[in-house]
Amino acid sequence: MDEKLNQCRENVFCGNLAEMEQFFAAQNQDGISGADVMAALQAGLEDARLALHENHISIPEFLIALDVFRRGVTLVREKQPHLQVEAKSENIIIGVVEGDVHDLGKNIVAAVLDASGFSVIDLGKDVSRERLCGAMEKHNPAVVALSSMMSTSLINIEKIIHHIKMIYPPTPVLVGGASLDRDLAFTLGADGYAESAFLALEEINQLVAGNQHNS
Amino acid sequence: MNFQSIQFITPSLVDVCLRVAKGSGYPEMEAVPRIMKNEIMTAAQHVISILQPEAVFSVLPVNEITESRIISDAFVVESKRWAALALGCDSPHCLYPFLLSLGRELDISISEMQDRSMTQAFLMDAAGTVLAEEYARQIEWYISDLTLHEGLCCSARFSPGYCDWDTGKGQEQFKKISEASSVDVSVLPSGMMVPQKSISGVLIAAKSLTITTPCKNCRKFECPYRR
Repeated sequence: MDEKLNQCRENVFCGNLAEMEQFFAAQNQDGISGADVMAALQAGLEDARLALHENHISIPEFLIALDVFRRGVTLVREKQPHLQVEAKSENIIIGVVEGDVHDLGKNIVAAVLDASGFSVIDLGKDVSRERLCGAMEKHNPAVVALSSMMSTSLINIEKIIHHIKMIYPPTPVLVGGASLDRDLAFTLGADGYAESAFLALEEINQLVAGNQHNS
Repeated sequence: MNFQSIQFITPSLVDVCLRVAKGSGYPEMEAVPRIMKNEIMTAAQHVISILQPEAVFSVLPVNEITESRIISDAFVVESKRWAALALGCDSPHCLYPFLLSLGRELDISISEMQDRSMTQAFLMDAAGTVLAEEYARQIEWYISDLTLHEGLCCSARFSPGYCDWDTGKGQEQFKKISEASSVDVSVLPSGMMVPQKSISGVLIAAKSLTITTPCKNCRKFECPYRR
């Protein structure tokens, strides 16, 4: 059974979609639980993320692993619609700041966070302060993650962070995007900075851990 | 403002694939795994099949150059560095602002693709960037060739955000062009353009130019846009 789960993990890491689908075609006969398969899928994606971090694979190769992971999750849910997956208790709100509509990077971050078990509330792009605060009121997030690819929307990030710090002071804000660097992120008042879509998970884990420690 | 349009030559599929591979971190095509070659090829083919490239440019005589501005009737470049370049020219003649778009279909297609395949969406986005840069280069060549026939020479193309030209103020100038011309580009209040794969830029034409960019006189050696 372990061997089959390892194969499942390997299929995600290597981006083997066809073999992943074959695995699911045979899964019921093997009596492997959906929760175990889900854990194997997550482990495979984490292997790929770490390999990307170490420059052993390219960004598109990681994305193939992400696509195979998502397909695997769909197949698990098709087979076991009532499967309860152990998820993290923290909500993460994510969005592209007002004035910007580049959302591909944000969507990759959202997919990675979702895959690692966070409950992701994706507000989409061109997100106003009002919409963000409404979502914060409703979901009480552990972290707010904002992205900006345009230098002209940095002013909006700064205003939103300032507002969050006034209304929800304990909630950490992570920022990322082409128009930012670490120094600028902290100058604008952010609590964390993700250099790439793939490093956001570490940063968010640190912010969540720091927030739990402080509370 | 009067506008002229440009016909583009679409680069070959192989050329687009090579550039997407390079942009994705592969130094050469031999380093690309087979599965990735197929993905890149599929994405590039898809993008080329749905492209709707269009561009307009205008020819605007330069009325005045100050220490920080190049002024024509309907268009102003607010940049000390580019104004210094223009002041150093022999008879600065015209500004050639242009707007280029790859069309809205590409934005829609990339957005829809994300549900099915992040890989394809990412590679389509990369192919769109490659093609937008290629078409901007073709515009630069076209305008340079045009001015050459009039005995003029051209600066390199530059855009809002280059050097000290503020992105927001620069994009306000291009908003006037998008509103007055037939090209289907919207400039949002933030300066962002929709469709996303759009490029705004301008060239300065003069009788002669000692430099084509302000880079030679700039000490920002780490600047990623240094030419």
